[in-house]
Amino acid sequence: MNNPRSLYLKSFVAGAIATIGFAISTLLFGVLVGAAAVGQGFSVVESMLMSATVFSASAQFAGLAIWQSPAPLIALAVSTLLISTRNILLGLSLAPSMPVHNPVLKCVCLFFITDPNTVLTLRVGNEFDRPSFLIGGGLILYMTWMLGTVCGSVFADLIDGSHRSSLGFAGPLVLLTMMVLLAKGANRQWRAWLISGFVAILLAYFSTPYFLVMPLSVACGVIMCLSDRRQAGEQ
Amino acid sequence: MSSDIIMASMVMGLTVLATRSLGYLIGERFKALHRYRDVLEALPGCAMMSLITPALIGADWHQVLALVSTGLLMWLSNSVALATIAGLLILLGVPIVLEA
Repeated sequence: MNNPRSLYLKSFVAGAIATIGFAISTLLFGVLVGAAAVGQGFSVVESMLMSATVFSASAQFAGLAIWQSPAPLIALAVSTLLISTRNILLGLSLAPSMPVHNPVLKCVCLFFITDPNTVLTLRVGNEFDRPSFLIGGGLILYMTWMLGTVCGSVFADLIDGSHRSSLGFAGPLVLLTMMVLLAKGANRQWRAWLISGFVAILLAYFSTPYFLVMPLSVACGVIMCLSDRRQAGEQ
Repeated sequence: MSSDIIMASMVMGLTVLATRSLGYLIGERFKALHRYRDVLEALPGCAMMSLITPALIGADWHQVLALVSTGLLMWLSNSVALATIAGLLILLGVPIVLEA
């Protein structure tokens, strides 16, 4: 496989195939966001516009929860920022293994940095071109996301309230599948992950504000990781 | 189309894109961070654990069952689709069965 174009194509297709499993949950979240947007008075086209530009279930759920007219733009920006802070960590983890020099390609890649796509891209070996892999997976997720939003907007009345609240727990389920993928990968950081989980549950139990739970628990995980690294270096 | 919704979509879209770009650009600019690649690659797992575990507080037993089943199936089968569908079936199916 010496031809770069065939490497790009192979990686693009591999990324698209790898994300098919996550497309199911993405479709489901799209349906829920579409239904929630219609519930707030959005038209089908307006909910599609929001999904097309934001492409983030958690940010859109949070935004719709505080939605009113006229739109509280500052509150929307702040809530979106707080909810999306983990994207900073995802980008930070991708940077060393995925250098992109073309500015247009870089913008496309940055738009497609999502949880499942990042986890899958971090797991692929050097036989693939990582930016092409990320874009292939990102396109599949984006298309299913838009399809889900349209379905949710059009058929909003069919999803009753009790099902919506049950499906709200689908988020942790999807994150757990990604966590298992990470745990089966090469770079396992059990102690850091467990510490983060433990600190997060402790902070949540004591009703710590949401925006503090993730940074504090991740910081504890990083400290554990650095300590493991130091010990390994000493040995 | 409401101009309110257009503005809100743009503001939220740009904010999400900024968070997606910020981490990558920091990692790209400060090459010294690359020495800590193993630590950086642990970050998504830490972030995910910090989102998964708090959900257990106040969760119903069928939600915990769905979570455990999804994790086990994912570990055994390595199939995201299978594990997610099974988890969703428990999430939606158990309340329906209990209501009936």
